[in-house]
Amino acid sequence: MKHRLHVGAVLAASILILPFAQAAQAADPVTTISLATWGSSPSETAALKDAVATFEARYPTIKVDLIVDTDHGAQMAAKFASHTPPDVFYLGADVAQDWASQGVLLDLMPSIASTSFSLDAFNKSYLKPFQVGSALYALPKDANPLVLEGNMTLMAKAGIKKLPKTTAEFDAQAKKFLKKKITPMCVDADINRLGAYFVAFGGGIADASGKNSLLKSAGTKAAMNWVMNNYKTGAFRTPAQLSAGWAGEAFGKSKCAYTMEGAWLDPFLKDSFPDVSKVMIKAPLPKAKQAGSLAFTAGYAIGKESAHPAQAWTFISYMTGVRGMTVWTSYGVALPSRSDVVTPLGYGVNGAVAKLATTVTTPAFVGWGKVIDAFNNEAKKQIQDKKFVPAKAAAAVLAAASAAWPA
Amino acid sequence: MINMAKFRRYFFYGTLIAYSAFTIVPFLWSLSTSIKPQDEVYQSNLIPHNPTARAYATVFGKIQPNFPSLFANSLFIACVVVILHLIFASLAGYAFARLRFPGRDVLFYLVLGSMMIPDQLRLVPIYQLMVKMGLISDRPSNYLAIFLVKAISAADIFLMRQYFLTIPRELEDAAKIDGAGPVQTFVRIMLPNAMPVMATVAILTFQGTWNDLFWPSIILQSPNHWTLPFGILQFKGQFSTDWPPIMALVVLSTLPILATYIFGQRYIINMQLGSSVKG
Amino acid sequence: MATSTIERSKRKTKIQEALVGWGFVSIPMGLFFVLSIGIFFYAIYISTYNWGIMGPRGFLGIENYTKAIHDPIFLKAIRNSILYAALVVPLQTMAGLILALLVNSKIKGSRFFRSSFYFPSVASSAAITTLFIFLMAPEGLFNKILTFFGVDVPNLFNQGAWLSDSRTALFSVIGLNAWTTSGTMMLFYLANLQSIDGSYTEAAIMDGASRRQVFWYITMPLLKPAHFFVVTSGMIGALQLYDQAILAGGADGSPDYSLMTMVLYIYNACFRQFAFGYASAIGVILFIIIFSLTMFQKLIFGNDAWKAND
Repeated sequence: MKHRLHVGAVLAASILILPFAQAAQAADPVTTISLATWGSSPSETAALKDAVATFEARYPTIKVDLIVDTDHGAQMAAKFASHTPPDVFYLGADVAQDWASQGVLLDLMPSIASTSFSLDAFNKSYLKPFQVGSALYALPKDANPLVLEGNMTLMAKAGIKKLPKTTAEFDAQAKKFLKKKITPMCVDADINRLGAYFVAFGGGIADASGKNSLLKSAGTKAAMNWVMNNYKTGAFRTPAQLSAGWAGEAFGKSKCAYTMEGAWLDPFLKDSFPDVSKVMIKAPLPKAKQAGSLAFTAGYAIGKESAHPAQAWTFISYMTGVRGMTVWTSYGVALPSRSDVVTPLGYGVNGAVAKLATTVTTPAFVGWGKVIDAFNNEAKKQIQDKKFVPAKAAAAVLAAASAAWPA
Repeated sequence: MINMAKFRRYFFYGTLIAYSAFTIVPFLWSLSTSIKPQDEVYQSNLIPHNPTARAYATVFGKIQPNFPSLFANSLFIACVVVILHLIFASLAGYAFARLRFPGRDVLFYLVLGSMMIPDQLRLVPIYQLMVKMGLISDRPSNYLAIFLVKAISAADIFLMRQYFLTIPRELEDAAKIDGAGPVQTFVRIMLPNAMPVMATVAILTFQGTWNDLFWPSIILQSPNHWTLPFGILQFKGQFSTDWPPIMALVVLSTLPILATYIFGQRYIINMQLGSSVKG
Repeated sequence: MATSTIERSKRKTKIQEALVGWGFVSIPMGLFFVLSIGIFFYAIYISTYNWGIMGPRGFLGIENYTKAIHDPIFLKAIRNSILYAALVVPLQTMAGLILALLVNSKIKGSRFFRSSFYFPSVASSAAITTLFIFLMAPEGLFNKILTFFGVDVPNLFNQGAWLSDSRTALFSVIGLNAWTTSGTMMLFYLANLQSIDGSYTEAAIMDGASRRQVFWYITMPLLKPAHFFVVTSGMIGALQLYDQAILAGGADGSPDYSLMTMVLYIYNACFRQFAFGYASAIGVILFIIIFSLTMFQKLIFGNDAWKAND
């Protein structure tokens, strides 16, 4: 109603004073698009705002209204259901298939086909979670692989000079740490951490299609036995066992020599534990049969019922293009998901791991969240008792996770 | 014998004081963390080694929108909701407790029933409804959506009703004999005697609305309408949380609740019932 | 002639009373019908569908319900929620009543205690739970106190991991919430204690009743409507435990689903799986459970806790 009135007023004005009306038509109208994200960290929000500002400077006719959601899943559900989705939003790789199956996401392939945008520079593994058949529902905004972080002060106490290159080396070092009453590694009993070893031992979580389970493969079983044995001997301890909220906190408190986190650890340590930050070294995770790591990614997606799909596409093609991704990743909170964007300074190891073929990302099927829940709940239950038998515990955890895998 | 009584008294007060100290731990911990430098946050010392006001400077200087705006919105929303609850809960509570009208008991069952539907299930339908009503926007009418969702509380109606049940009938009968109708009885007899429960409703509603983030986070669209808990969120991340500013905000936002409580409890206690009648 | 005038005026009073009654409840009931009761009937409707974000995707009949009662995680959620309510409600009620009686008596410093006892209820559940997680960690304050009293914490069955052990997590949350809600419950009782006519107790004491007798035979029965409110609203709230569960155990209520509650399960169905139809079916089951338990309580408390004017 109000809108129509406005149009009417403009029409009337243009008839009355033609020369001015022509001038008004020449100036491009500014479109405001909304961008819904989840809150990650104060420094990450600041980095995103800066990156968005470079976009607005380059495309002066598009303004971006940033919304930091408190509960992204709930808020997006409410907005989708009322047919008022934000134009652009973060889409976690872990839930991408679930969201896509609801029919609320815009397929980006037509936009990609009609512009000069190319998918070639993206690591294929980072596209997979967002693909359904020939459709692509998001472009990966960055990548964040797990690497091994070590505390040099604690390593020196146990007479250890280098981070372990193999799991066998890790086992030998663990004994030295434990003799000095130092916890070798803090890692949560979480498939999103331990899964890295499934790959290293020659197994995995899911196959290349992202759909078929590898939890019953020999490699995964061997990895799980090794992992559970480490929890038994104390070579691995969970953050909860070390009175920490997450592994990075335990590492910052010098309660463990090693941890395995992504690039998000670096700014956290710099802020909260500057002393430990100075003695941190990084390397790829220890190899078993091969190198292996998990990477996490999130994409920019557009709502199917977005009011400004064209401007939204302009925005995400900029942010996931060379220029936008260079600006965004230069803040060091995440690594580029494109091979043609340089790795930020100080993240060489993270960058190298991000590019490995054996760095795999989240499986791509509806209901992956239930597998995570089943695995993690069972794993934590198994290791809470000091008297657990590693092989039995490993089998129980894999069985629980397999049972949750959709047929 | 006297010594035994004395010992019991000491023990009694000792226990009360120990428990009181225990109840203040959360507040002291928040206060302590709010003045800690970043590298002491994860240490368990209650008294900071190098206290700093950085967090308060951050809270007053850096958050967007600024602290006065968040505070004013919190205060505005909480006060309106308190007033709505006081009006609706006392009227309905009195009607359900004392007035005879067809359908009363069925309606009261519905009030109870409405407490049994979790907000998580109501979230999406209510949001859809508010969108249809055009209340989800950057405009000030956005406040209306919050007020509609929070205008009534089944628990408060229930509380009021149960309270009115305990008010002796004689008080009311005296008024009835004087020829007062239900409205006069409510205003002249019931309300003055309901001060303790009105104060309770006011305190709890103020506190609940003040701390709530669930509804505001989904309904309030413009940062200009945001409340204090939104400020807390800005320092909270998936992996890193900036605790001192969060705790500074917790401390600052606890103060109005305490003020309401200390002010309100005066109306709860020492309001000897029936004084208006007995004279 | 005279009687019919009285009859007529009586009828007029009756009608007037009914109109006032309806008037007083009209606005709240109107809002309830739209924002709660209407939504509940809508939930019943969509619970018979495979209902996603964008609406219905096929009629299912009672399939959502049969799926729910065959899901071991949901059964665990029911068990957890009921166990939680069964323990937390008596604890918070007793604590609230004792605290209210204390600060309502003429003890020294009752004003101070009145404020300090309410303190645990002041902070938001997020703030207090965060602190609680910190205090209950293996190296937290709670275990330090246990160690002080000679407990060998590292060799306890749960190694001192109170919140991250499936055998103690729920009980830890019960302890937390009994404590934090005790202040609120105290306030309810405190308000209701004021409405007890002092002349009853005075008369009883003059008749030679001991203070204990006055409490059990006069104060407690007069508080019956208050008990009914505290227990019923406490139970309805407890069966909807959500905040503390998700903060302490994550959305998956780990470990071993020991912190999975009915409402957390609904949250997962709604906002992680977008299965609105299924979530609604759970909501209906939750409603039935809470409603039957409330009716059971009403039976236990009897009519004088409940009945309005007749």
